[in-house]
Amino acid sequence: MTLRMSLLGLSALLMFTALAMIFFYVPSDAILGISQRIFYVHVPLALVGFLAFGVVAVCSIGYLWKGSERMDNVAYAAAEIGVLFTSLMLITGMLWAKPAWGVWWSWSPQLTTSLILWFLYVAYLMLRAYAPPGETAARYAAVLGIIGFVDVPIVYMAARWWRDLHPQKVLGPLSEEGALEPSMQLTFLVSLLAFTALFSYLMATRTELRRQEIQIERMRYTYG
Amino acid sequence: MVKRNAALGALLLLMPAALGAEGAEGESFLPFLFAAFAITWVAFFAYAFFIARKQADLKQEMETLRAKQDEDPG
Repeated sequence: MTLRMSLLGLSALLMFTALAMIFFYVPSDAILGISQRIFYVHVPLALVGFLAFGVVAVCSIGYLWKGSERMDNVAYAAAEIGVLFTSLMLITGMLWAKPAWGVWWSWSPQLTTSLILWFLYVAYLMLRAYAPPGETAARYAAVLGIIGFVDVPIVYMAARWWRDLHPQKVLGPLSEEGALEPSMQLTFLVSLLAFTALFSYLMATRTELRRQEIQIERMRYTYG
Repeated sequence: MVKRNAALGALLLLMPAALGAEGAEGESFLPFLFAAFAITWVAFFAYAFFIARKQADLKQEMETLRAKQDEDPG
């Protein structure tokens, strides 16, 4: 069994476990009711999206430093998957905001900086799509990929730095102790693992596809 | 794949029953919860489909180009 198939199997198994825990195991939030269960999808999507943009930044630095095409391929794949995860994070966030706040969207610091992050990496993909293929486009995209990542810690810290409607952190180093009940913590961690496994599978597949795209582009140039 | 989709469908069908104890307020929030999960999964399946389709197209194009390469090795 290849690594990719193992990752697919692992992510399917973890996803089913996470779904079962979200709907049959974890209790509902006392204040927000069942709509709080969106949290188990929304927050992992956001964190894995940040991870993807971190991969873009690291590989972009690697590309500018070493000029390795492989680094550029990984950065491209991570940007595309990061935009997918961030788009879903914004959509699930709106679906949580409507029952919780009564509005689909609020221009609060965390939401606004999240939208800016999404635009930055959509711009990265547009640059890759419309610029002529080659080293120049890859270099410009690498610079944008690194600059874009500056927004990630701003998004993460926004609710703490400014007055914000968005809930404060309930997990991680910035959270208050006991902010989340143990069964909720466990469900969240399983869901986070599931989305991370899915991200790894998609990354392996998309990077390989990108390599093939470039190979074909070169063959087209020679024999097309 | 079919088995996995059937299991996912069954899980989504059982969702309202599992959350039935939430009462009337819970029921009014159910469409939002359902939409969040449905949109997420449709998007991931659509992306996986897009990748698989592109991979198949590239494989076919690569075979055509390799055939050309064999005809004209110089």
